[in-house]
Amino acid sequence: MADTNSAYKFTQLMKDNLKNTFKFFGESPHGATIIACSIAIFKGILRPTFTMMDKKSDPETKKYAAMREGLTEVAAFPLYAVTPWIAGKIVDKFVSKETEEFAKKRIKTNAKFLAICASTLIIPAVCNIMQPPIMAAYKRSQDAKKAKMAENMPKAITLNKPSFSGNSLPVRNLNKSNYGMRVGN
Amino acid sequence: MNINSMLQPLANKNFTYLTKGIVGAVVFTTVLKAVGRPAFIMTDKRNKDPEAKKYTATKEFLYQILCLGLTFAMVIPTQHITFAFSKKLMKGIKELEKIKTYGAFKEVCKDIDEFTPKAIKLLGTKEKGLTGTAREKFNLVKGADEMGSFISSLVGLTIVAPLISHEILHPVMHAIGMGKKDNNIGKPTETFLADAKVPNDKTNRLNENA
Repeated sequence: MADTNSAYKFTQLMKDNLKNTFKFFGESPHGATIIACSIAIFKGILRPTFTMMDKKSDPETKKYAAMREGLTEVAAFPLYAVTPWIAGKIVDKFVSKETEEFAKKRIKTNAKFLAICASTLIIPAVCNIMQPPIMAAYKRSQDAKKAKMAENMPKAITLNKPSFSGNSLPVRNLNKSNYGMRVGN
Repeated sequence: MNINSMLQPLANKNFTYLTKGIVGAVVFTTVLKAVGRPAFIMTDKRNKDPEAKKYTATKEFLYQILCLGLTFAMVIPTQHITFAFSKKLMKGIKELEKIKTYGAFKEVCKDIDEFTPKAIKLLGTKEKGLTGTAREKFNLVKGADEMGSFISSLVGLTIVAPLISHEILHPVMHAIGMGKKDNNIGKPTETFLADAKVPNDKTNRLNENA
């Protein structure tokens, strides 16, 4: 009996939540902003993940590409969120009080939409300014890491070059003694 | 001309119909990306290699076109399926009973504050717009439609497009003669003797003597 009751409560809760979500999407004038921001968030997470999952690419190239893709969306998200808000504020400030309420609502929706469109065009320029210093810093840190690793590595043993000159007998090349497949010997 | 009078054209009814929905936003931004991004790449002065610029710009353009196609391919069926389920919410509401098809629903959707002439004809009403319970229920159906569009465009643009772009764009790029030339660096190359133009003096002399 308790199980049936809790199942009913759960179903009711889900129904209410779904109804509230429908209501929100149906009445909200921020559709364009919501979808633009959501795409930026999901792309920011998924695109670098897909890039890192690619087995064919070089690991260093993958890291670099993933970081660039992530940074693009990091630049895109605040632009998509802030520009429509600014557009809304401009409309609130400059539209005269005599304008009808529904007309004001339309102006606001369209101004926000145009702000989203403007952001779409601005993003590549912003990325072009923002990305190079960050990527350069990342490359420097990677190079420093590599140099440090090379320093800590034990130095390779260098063998004397065997001499074949003159009448001396050929000296067996120690470098090749355990290398490859040999027949006989 | 003050800002107020400049903002007034934004109250246009038809433009609002295009901009307030999620699909409109996705389509407009994708088209802008398809035009704006390649243009930006081509005008970028940091990259000096015109061939590389052309390649990147074409690839970006094709990717955005693919995104646009995916949006339509995923959103349109989703909208119809969502409407088939959500129209039950309008049952019992006299004003909305005549909305049977998705096309009729979209016509009423254009403006629920001030019906279009087509919507008035369709609903057979003398009212200017939707009010009370009818408005509330209609907004629920509209919300379901928007949510369906939201989820399908999100899945299309952020999951499906990156996954299939590699499989589709490379053959297309090759087909239009823009395949990346340095793709084979480091890979073993096949050389056929018939294609190899290696000058062989001895063979040539023998041929001449024969």
